[in-house]
Amino acid sequence: MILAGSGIATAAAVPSQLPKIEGRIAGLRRPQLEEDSPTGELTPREMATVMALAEVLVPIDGGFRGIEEVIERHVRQRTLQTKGYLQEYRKAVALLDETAEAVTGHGPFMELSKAEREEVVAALLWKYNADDHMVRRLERLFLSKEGLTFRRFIVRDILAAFFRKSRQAAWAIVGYDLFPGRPQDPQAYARMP
Amino acid sequence: MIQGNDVADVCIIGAGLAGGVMAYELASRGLKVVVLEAGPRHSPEARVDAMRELLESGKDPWAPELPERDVYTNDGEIAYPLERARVKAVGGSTLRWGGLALRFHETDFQMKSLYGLAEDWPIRYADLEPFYGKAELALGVAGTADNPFAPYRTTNYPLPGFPYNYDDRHFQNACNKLGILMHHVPWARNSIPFQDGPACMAFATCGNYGICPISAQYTSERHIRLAEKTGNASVIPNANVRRIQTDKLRRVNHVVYATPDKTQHEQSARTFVLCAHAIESARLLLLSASAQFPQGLANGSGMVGKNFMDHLYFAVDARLKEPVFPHRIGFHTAESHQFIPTGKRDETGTIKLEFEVTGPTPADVARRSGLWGKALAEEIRQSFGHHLRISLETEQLPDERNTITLDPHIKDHFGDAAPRITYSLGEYERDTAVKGIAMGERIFDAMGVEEITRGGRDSIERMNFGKHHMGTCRMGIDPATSVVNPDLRAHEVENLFVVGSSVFVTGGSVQPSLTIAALAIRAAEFIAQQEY
Repeated sequence: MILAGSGIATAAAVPSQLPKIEGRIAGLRRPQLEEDSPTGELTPREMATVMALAEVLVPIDGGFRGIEEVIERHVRQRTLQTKGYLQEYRKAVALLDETAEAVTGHGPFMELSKAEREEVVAALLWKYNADDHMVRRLERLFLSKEGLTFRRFIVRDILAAFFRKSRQAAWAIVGYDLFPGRPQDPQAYARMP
Repeated sequence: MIQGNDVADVCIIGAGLAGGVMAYELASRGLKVVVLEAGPRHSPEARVDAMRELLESGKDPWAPELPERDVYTNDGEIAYPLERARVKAVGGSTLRWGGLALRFHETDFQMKSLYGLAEDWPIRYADLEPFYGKAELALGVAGTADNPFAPYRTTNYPLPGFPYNYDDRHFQNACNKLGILMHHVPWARNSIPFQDGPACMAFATCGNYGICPISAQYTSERHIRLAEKTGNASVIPNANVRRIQTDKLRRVNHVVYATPDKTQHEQSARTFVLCAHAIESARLLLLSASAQFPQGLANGSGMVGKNFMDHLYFAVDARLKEPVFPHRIGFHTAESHQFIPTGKRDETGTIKLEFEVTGPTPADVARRSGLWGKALAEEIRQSFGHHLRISLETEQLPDERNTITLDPHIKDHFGDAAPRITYSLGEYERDTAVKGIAMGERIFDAMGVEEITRGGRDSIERMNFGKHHMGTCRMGIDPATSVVNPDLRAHEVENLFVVGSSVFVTGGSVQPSLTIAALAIRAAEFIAQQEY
């Protein structure tokens, strides 16, 4: 199911007593990492699929090569160090290949063009803006379990790696070449950039 | 250099702001001082790496290494959170604090006589004024004396103030229209090199992130270092004080502390100073109950743990059409204290306006949205750099029902009863919030913002705590209604002092740190005059 837009009308229709029930349902559907599952490394093919996904996810036009290494290192550390992630990344690879077949009629995901890969990801996740709180809430209730798991453990992990570990590229999106964590002229803030 | 087991002149419990300042003030006067700190000693040299780790992996550099040590419970109307609200380490909560160094207003000390509310402090602003000046020098406060609502001062700020943020002009224009006066903000942060610290280099991680990688912002580690340099002070980290023990004469003769492996030690001294902040100071006194002090040490009044207070924060946010440039520094540079010395404080409390150039970072937008790729980039560009915030810091009155007690069921790492927080707010606080939020909305209306994105009920529901723990060991003249006297000596225990925000009678509506430092210097001067 793909749902885009603000969802304001839906918000108005939700009775006020629902939040508690909604919270319980969302809690039951909340994806959990399987902490008994082993850690380890993805195969080169699996990693290539994850990087093909990362290229679609990161919010930059071109220049992915420069940050690919950072994200690959992050994913490797993640699957080696945090129990549950190796399994989730593997499940994500399978889900992407399966959805690629269903959406485009061919695959695997890593061999699709970037436009096709974007189409595949769009088939798995809802889109909503930062202030679309209602769509975000509805996603927790109605997106498929696979989609929720994919969002929570894979998409967020890759995007977090980009924003935290490729900070120069991330802040460049808004035109900042200096950003928190980088020293700068201590009086610069008092002037127009 | 005094060793841990020697009899010290003074044993200080807690190496935060009060403990650090006291240690230096006493050691520099030749007293032999031992400081016991429950938490570890972090290396300032490792702070750049700690900042990088925080930014790259989200690892909190001040997270307790022993979480079981810091368990607590709640049983009040409002669950009061302690996570990330205090730091147990050499430096204490100054490792994470914002750095605002403000004096309480004259009226804050006279709530009962001026407004018929709460209680008066047993000291007046005039008693503390010289010590505020000394505290500003000790902390290296950078300020501009342009606040007409501030209490009088007899000394200049030791460091030049930080100029306004470029985007403060939006607040300035709106305030001018409404007759509200905006002014600069004093910070315990080096605007120029000071003592052993460099000038601020705008890493912009001091506010939201809670770390200055170059120690340009004051932490009480500075005073601990200075105390050690005198050769008269030693600091014992990872020394969790469990009991304060008294002799037959009802004087403290030693404290019992445990290291993380639960090994017990004792520290003797002639005088003891409890500087463990409002929650742990009260808890330790209660844990130290004995046959002589059945309700808890120094608690004949039953006031230990009562009147726990904080400042309440309400944010009003707005989106502007024109761009602003947030996150270039980690602190705000403009405030208005016009509503602090209010003449009608009996109906609603004081309100401090903090003008912030803020808003979501690119990562925040990504986290809140369900977008990726080009759509996410577009959303980030749309959302970033159009937000301003007015933070309203408001007053909470002391209330005996807000308490720190011992939880009868939950124990900490050492087997001691965890602190139990009972907390609620009254109409006074709620009415103050409503008034403040309306004021914030008026300022944004005058600014002609595109949209107020947080205001009204939303601001109230998303209230934040200042994490300024105050009260619980109130100072006063009457031993029946207070724990310590105006010299901060426990009424019932001659050689025990309590120093810090725990002794505050009321909380005012500005950050407590400078008042903590001023009280610490004053108490140290008093203790140093005693015969040893």
